[in-house]
Parts: sequence; C-alpha cells; structure tokens
Amino acid sequence: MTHNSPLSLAICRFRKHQLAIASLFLLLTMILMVLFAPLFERFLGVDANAIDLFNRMGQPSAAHLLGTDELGRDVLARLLYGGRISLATGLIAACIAASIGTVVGLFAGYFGGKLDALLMRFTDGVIALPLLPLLIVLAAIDLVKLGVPETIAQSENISFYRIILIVALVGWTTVARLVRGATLSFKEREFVMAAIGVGATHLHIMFRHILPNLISPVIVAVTLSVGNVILLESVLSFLGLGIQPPMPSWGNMLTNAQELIWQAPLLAVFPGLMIFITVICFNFLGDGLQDAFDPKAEF
Amino acid sequence: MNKSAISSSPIMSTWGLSKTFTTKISDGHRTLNKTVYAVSDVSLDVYKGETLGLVGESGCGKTTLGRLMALFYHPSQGTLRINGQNMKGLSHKHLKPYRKNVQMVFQDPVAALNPRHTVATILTEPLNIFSVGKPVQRRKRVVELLDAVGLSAKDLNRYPHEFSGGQRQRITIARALTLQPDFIVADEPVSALDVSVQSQILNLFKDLKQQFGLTYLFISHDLAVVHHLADRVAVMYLGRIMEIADCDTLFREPTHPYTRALLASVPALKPGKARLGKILKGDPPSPINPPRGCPFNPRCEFASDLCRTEVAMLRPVQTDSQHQVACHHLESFQ
Repeated sequence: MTHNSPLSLAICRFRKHQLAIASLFLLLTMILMVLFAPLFERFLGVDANAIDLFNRMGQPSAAHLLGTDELGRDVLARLLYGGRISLATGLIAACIAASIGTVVGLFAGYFGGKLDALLMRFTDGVIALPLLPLLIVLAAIDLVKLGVPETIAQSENISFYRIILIVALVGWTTVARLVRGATLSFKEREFVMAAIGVGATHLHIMFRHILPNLISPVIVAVTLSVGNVILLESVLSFLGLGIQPPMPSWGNMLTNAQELIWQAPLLAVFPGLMIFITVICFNFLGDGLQDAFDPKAEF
Repeated sequence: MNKSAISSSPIMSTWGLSKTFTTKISDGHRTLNKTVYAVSDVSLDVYKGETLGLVGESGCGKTTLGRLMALFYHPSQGTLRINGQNMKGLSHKHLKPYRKNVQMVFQDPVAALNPRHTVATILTEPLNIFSVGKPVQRRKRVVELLDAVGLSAKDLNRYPHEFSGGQRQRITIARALTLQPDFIVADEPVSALDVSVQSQILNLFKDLKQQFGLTYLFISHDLAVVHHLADRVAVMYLGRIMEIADCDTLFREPTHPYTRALLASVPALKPGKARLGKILKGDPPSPINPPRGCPFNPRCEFASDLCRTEVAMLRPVQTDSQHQVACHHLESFQ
C-alpha cells in the first residue's frame, strides 16, 4: 500500500473522528486485557474459578478489586474471562455471518435472474423467521442425538461453538442484502466490462473487481453487528441457553446476578456496564468507519 | 494518412447484424415488455489498417454497434466475423481467445478504471489472465506500454484517482494495447475530456496506430474529430447505417439527406456561409417504436410514400463506388 491508496485516505479521514478513535482505543485495551487474563489473574493473586464460600458477595477490596460473586469468586477475573467469550463470540460470529452474506449477495447480485430470485427469497425467509423462539429451539437441540461424538458434545466449549454457529446462521442476511445491492450497481460499471474484455472469468470479476469495492460497507456492517451479536449472546445466556457455567460470559454473569439484585447490585452492574460500553464502542467505531469510507469523499 | 497501409481483407465483417434489447415500460397502469431496436441490419467491413469513423446522434446505436464488435454483446440476428471467423453462438469462455484481437477504449475513463486497483494491477491483469510471459516480462511490457502512451514507470503504484482525465484515458488505452490487439473499438474516447486534452489524446491514437499497426473503429458524435482521424466514415441513424464513404468524399459531397443535415448542424465559423442542407428539427424517433420504412422519413423533406413503407438498402452512388448511401431518392440528389 502506498501512502495515497484508497485505504490510507480512509484512515486519514478516520483519524479525524475522535469518538471513533477513542472507541477503538478502548476496545483494543479491552481485547488486550482479556487476552492476557491469566497474567492479570496471577498479578492480582486471584483465580476466576476458585470458590470461597466464606467470602460470598464480598464488597470491593484490596484482595478483590471488584468484589466477589455469590460463590466467592473474584468478579474482576471473571469479567476478564467472560469478556474473552463475549468478545470472541461477537467478532467470530459477525465475521462468519459477513462471509456467508458476502458470498450469497455477490452471487445473487452478479448473476441475477433466477439465482438472484432464489437466494433473495431464501434470505427473506431467514429474515422472516421469529428469531428468539428459533434460537431457543436450536440451543436446546441435543447434539448427541444428531450424531456428534459424545466427547465433543459434552465438552466445555460446545456452548461457545454452538452459539457462534447459531448467530452466524441467522445473522448473514443484512450483509447479503447490502452486498447484493452494491454488486448490482458495480457490475454495470465500465471497469467490469473492461475486465470482461480482457477475458476475465465471472469468479475473477466477482472477487477481484467487485469485492474490493464492497469491503468498506462490509467492514462497517460487521463492526455494527458485533455489538448486536454481543447483545444477542447475553440475551441467550440470560435465558440460560447461551454460554453454560462454569465458563463465564458477561451474559451468564448477569443471569446469576439477577436473583441477588437486592443483596449485591454490583454483581449485575459490572457485567451490564461491560456489555453497555462494548456495544456503544462498536457502534461509535462503525459510525466512524462509515464516515471514513464514505464513497462521496473517495477522491 | 497512409492509405496504402490499408489492406483489402476485412479484419471485422458484419452481415445483417442486429441487436434488440427488452425493456420494461410503464404506461401508468401496467408494465409492458418493449423491444428496443438498437442496431438493425448493419452490414459493414472494417479493413486492416484503416480508421473507420462512426458518427451519429445520441441514442442512434453507435455504442451498441461498437460493443457488438468488441464482443460484449451477442448479436440478436446476423453474423459477425473476426478475420473470417464466425463468432455466432460462442460462449463467454469460447470468446476468450478472440478477445486478444479486439479491445475497447471506453468513453468515461473514471468509470473504466477500478478505483481499488493500482496502474500496475490494471495493466498486468490482461497479461495474467492470458498467462503471457513470466512476471518479470509482464512488468517490462507494462512499463513499455506506459512509455508508449506518455506515462512512466513511476506511475505504476499510483491509483486512478491520482490522475487527470487525460492521463486516465492514457491508462485505459495502454490497457487496451496490452494483449497486442489488431482492432480497437474507441467509443467516444475524447468526449469526456477537456478540449485542450482532446487533441493530445487524438494524436496519441494516431501515433499508436502507426507504431502498432492498429485498426480502429472510432465512434464519435463530434464530426471534427472524425474528420481529423478517420479514413472512412459511416453515418448511423436509429440503428442503421445511412451512408458510408471515404472521409474526404463524405465531408465534400454528403449525399444522404440526414448526412447533409448533420454536417449543416455544425456551427459555421463564417456566418452567412452557404449551408449544404437544412438544420434538423425535432428529435429522432424512439428506437422502441421506429417508423415504418426509412427511419429518417418523419424528418426528411424529400420523403415519399416509398420512404414511408420500405427500408432503403445501402447501395453504391456509382457502380463499384466505395460511397454507399441508403436512400430511395439517391439518383435525384446527384
């Protein structure tokens, strides 16, 4: 990349968006902290899974900076590990959903006709599904009966993979429609005709010519949807269908806190605050990227 | 112009070539599928080494004919031969080898260059697709081409938005030359450019023709540009060729009433200078609903009943003459 590529011009514009810069900084800090959660654990001398029934619902103190939960576990350490799960779910599910949506949208928009009609009616169908009941059913499916080996089906991480898969399977529709619309307009541009003129194949045109022009709206859509996925994960975890304890996530920490809301309100405040900050940051970041990639400011 | 370099064998030959499109028209109550007759019954030979100018008003089918010849559209009817080879029924995949022979330069250089690709990517792409040479050789060829169109190797890593309109058109011309084609369809290549840049690009077209032995189909609505560049000129109206002749002949003795009107519409430098024909009134009829008979009959002062019922075919002004006119009343104009 040279200093004057379309990307570096967008970065220049992004830098002027202070709120988005602050959000990006905050999110990167958060990601670094959750990545190095074990280091923090050792440094603070706490253990996210160490139960201490003599110290339940402890107030913030020097030993436990954010206090302890209903089983006497350190809240800060659990927030860090929960952040790992929540952020990873959000980012991975949003990326998978965007990839599915991009491919569906590219094929529908580029080839048009019957394929377009078929793919878009399918997309409409997925959009029309009542999301929450469907998610509840999907989350309740017994994987062993589906033929998944028991060792995998019973493993600790399965609820994590399951939730990523569920969210990705229903979350690709926005990107698919976005990409289809943009593809429809780009495929009429003369540079696509020029590519046909030098013998390019359809796949080459779709992925080398049209896709690079769609990257910016897709990145914006992914960023904005990460926040939604994190919210969805916490809703599902709150309903007891998401991440299964003892693995912490911000969502299931909220669930545990709801019964104790009068005895220990802080237990609900911290994970709630984390979700709030993260979602808001991703939204600001998305807005900033949107302005930076604005096609009207392209040249 | 070097007339002797023009060979007698057609590089591109069309016979009865037609292209129709279907479009949806709403009359307020329902939408109807209507057929647009963009190009009708065009039989034309382009000879190796010549520049064939194609002139006409907006919407007369110039661009469609150019795109048919550049293999972007499948003909609805008629045949198209490149070096004698019939292109009929060839799929996207099977047309690929012929695309090396025919390249196109587009009207709008902003739209014709992918804003996300560098000049190097744009120019090596055709070579990569056709697996021409090794990567080092490809790069060398690209630098040679940039040099030929008046740009330099330091422009390789720049993006289209960093160039002016004229420079961008130079890039699209370089791209059209990468595969060493014989025939280039230039679709109004200067009409989107500043007047000061137009002549530079036109001279570039002339130089490149000499240097690489090219054949051009040069589409333009600007008669002065065509006069400057073309060896032969074809005049198009509502999808049909109305007159075709040597450049000099056409501008000296235009014969078809439409050609005369077209030439008369160019503002004269000397006011009061005698004009060859009357200035046209009204707009051309819609290609969705072309008039019966000669397409020009509703605007033609000489139109007779014959003109309103039967299409006039192109026929030579004199026997064996290269000057051909599609008019029933040809004899009465001589």
